[in-house]
Amino acid sequence: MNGRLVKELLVILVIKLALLMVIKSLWFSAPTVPPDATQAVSAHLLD
Amino acid sequence: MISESVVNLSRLQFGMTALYHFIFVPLTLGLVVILGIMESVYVMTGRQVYKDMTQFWGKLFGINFALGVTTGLTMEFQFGTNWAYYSHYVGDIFGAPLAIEGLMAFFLESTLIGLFFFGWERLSKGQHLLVTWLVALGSNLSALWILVANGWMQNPVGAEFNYVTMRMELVDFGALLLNPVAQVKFVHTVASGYVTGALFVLAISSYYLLKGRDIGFARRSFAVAAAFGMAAILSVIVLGDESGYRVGEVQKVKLAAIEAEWNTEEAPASFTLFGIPNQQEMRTDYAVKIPYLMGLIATRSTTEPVTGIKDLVSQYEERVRNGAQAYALLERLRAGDDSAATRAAFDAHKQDLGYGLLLKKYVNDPSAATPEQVRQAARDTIPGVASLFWSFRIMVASGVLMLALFICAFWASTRRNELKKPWLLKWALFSLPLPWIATQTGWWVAEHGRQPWTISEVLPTHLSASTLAPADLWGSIGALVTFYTLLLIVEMYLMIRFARLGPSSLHSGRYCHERTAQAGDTLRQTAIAKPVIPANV
Amino acid sequence: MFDYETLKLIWWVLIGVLLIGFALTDGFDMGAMILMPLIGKTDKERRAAINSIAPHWDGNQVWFITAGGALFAAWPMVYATAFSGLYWALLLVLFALFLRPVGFDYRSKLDNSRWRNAWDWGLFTGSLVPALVFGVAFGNLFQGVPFQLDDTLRSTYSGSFFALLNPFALLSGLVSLAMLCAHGGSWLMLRTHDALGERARRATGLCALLHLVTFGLAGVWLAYGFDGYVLISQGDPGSALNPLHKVVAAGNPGWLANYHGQPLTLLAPVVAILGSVLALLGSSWRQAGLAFTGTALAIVGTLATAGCALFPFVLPSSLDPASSLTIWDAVSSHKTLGIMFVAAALFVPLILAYTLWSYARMWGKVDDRFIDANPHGLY
Repeated sequence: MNGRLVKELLVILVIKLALLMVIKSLWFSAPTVPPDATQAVSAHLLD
Repeated sequence: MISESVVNLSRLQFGMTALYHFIFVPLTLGLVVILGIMESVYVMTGRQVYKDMTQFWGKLFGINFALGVTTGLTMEFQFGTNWAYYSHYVGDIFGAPLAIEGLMAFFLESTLIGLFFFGWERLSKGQHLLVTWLVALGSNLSALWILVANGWMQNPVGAEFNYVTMRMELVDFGALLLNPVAQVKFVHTVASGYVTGALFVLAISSYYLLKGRDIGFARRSFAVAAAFGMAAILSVIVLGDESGYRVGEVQKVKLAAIEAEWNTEEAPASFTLFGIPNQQEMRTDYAVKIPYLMGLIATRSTTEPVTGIKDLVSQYEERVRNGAQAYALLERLRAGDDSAATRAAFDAHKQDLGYGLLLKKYVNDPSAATPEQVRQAARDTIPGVASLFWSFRIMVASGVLMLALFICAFWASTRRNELKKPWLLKWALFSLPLPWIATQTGWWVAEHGRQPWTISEVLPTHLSASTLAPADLWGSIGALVTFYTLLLIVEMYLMIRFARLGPSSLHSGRYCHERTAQAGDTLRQTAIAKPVIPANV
Repeated sequence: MFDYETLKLIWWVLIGVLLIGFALTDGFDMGAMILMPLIGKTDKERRAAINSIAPHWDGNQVWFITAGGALFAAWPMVYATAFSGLYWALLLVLFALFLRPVGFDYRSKLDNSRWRNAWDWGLFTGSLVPALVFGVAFGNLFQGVPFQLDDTLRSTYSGSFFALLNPFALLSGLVSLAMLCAHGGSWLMLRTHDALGERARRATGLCALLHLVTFGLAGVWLAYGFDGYVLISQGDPGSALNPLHKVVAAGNPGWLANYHGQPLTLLAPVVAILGSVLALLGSSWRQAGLAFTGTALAIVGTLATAGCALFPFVLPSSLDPASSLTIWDAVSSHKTLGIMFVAAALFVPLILAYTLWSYARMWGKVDDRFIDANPHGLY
């Protein structure tokens, strides 16, 4: 029970940490709006 | 200011621990009410099967509740550990509902739950039933107070900034309590808990019915869950609509982001069902729209427009500039110039102080910000659109699926022919993850949509975190992930095991695995080869 | 209702009440679980110890949670500065506490001795670590902790976790551990009997003695070994104060100033010592009620001693004394303190009432027969 269980738990943990890092880089790393958004906003206002 | 990675890691940790806590909370909220219903029927009718139902589902409740408490401990203290400046800046208002949650709700729930589990022989039927309902009351009250707190983050009413103590201070407690955002979030969240509890019981009962075991027990559980769930899913959807309407009133940019509403459309705006929000170009590709629908739902009118992201950004630029002035006036006040003129000028600008604080990400003194920095700060007010767009739609889709399921389950239950519909039973069983998908995505929408603020329009996230080192955060995130994962595995192992065992785990001698037939059960006879009580229970 | 200055003082008392309430209630179930794997030699004995607290431990733990929430509501600067500064110490306590709810509910759900033994040591650890760390934390308060506030009142902590484990703080940890184990032992004297009860009796006596010794040592060390801090000047305590606008200096040798100034406070250490003496007597004379009263008094006295010595400081800063947090300036607004006072005044009596009711309903001896009567329903 012990060796296999430990291995499975380690795999689960590694997968979880990997997922967390993906989530972090996608949604928890500012900034969100691109630098040329200003042009989009001004262009929109000029329409 | 604070290292950007510390802020991002702190956000990641708080989001992760909050979502983790919310794996267990909705089931607690819903299941405890179901226990109250089942036990009420027991006390009213005296039928043993209802007592067995209360005790068996109560066992599963206990397995879940343990992790609800465990993960809840983290939340109570995490504002202090990881969001220290936030705790100073708004603690005068935010701390109160948390403390009252403890005094009014946690004490009631946690003290009496001991009697629920262990007091069956020590209390009369009526007393034990009262205990069960008081535990339910305690849980629901706790949801009330935490949502008063969260509602205030979204719509910070009843408070004012004090330049001497450099923090927000409570001015109107009634406004805090009666905050319409808090009220609607409370009932919507609690209803989502009721849906979770109902679907949990429905799915597991369907499992027993599919296996043809403990029929009388399972059918009665199914009936309670179907009826309760029917009421709950209708409530949660109606209240979800109300919730969205309130967001449209007080957090316009959140609504715009959820709907990927880049431009202000002519009213009533159309609803984008599907599409790929393109943050770069500030448009939605491959959009599938339903005309008029969003305008009608979000504004409940045909004439009021839903302001688009681009227009909001330009409005906020103005607010950032005002905010920079407010900041300059604040500095003068604190330097000693508290003449009536300065104070009046500050009062005229202070509602935009939060917008001025957005500039502190780029420059120490907001009043010295360049026009480009002002524009950048205004752009920062837009949260990430794509994840909000999709998580909202996933939440709603889950809700619609659950609505369909509960309608069918309720109908079959009233017609008493659920056993003749294995397709319904399988559907119920496989729908078990849906409430969790809905509740997790729902909270993502609410909280990710709140960015870049911890307190909407008052305190930006990037100023709110504790002054820790990135290593501290990596360490605590790693430790929390490890701990929580191991505990969740243990919890699920036990939950699945005891769900599989069913009421025979009560060792009453009345159920499957214990008897060849259930005497007195007129609904159906269960034939088992030999009575075997599993050794490990 | 009350003026601001009075409310600030009332909240000093109320936070103390919450901390004492926590130590009195969660204290005995932590103490009992520390003793459990040591004095419980069979599975049934360990289950008896666990089930003597099973209906109560969760309500008891809420004193801790509510103390945290109340700290946030009444002393937000303390909540923010202490918890972020003492980050790893608090996380260590939290991680240990994680083991308790799951330990209690899950332990007896499988009939596997390795499983049960693992959870028993989990309950042990989950109770030992907080008991020790709370004492260590208090020991560091007397020395001041290295933090500093900037002009926007943002705090920065400059110490390490290991610096908190200095000798005086470790001794304070032992004081805390001893008093809570004695309290757990006297609880087990009340609720168990036979061999387990006898071992609980001996443990109570031993731990009460340990408390007397360590409390005495700590008291002497404190009196002769520390400069203490004194509040030299501050603004009007009846107004909203900015912590940075005060003058603090070393100059309260042994933290004895309050004992000289308000001799009534000497009652606190007297009660602490008297309590442990009564606990010793109660354990020798096999009087469980006396022992439990004694350990309870020891706890009240010990905590009151610390609070009275530190007053009006809550979190002294060794790095920048002016940044120290006191009950006058680390506090919420007048309005919030007033509202919270009403909430506490309304709910604490109610809490005490239904808590006492639940203890009364579940009272009685827990032994092997008790376990045998309901092996699957109990923890």
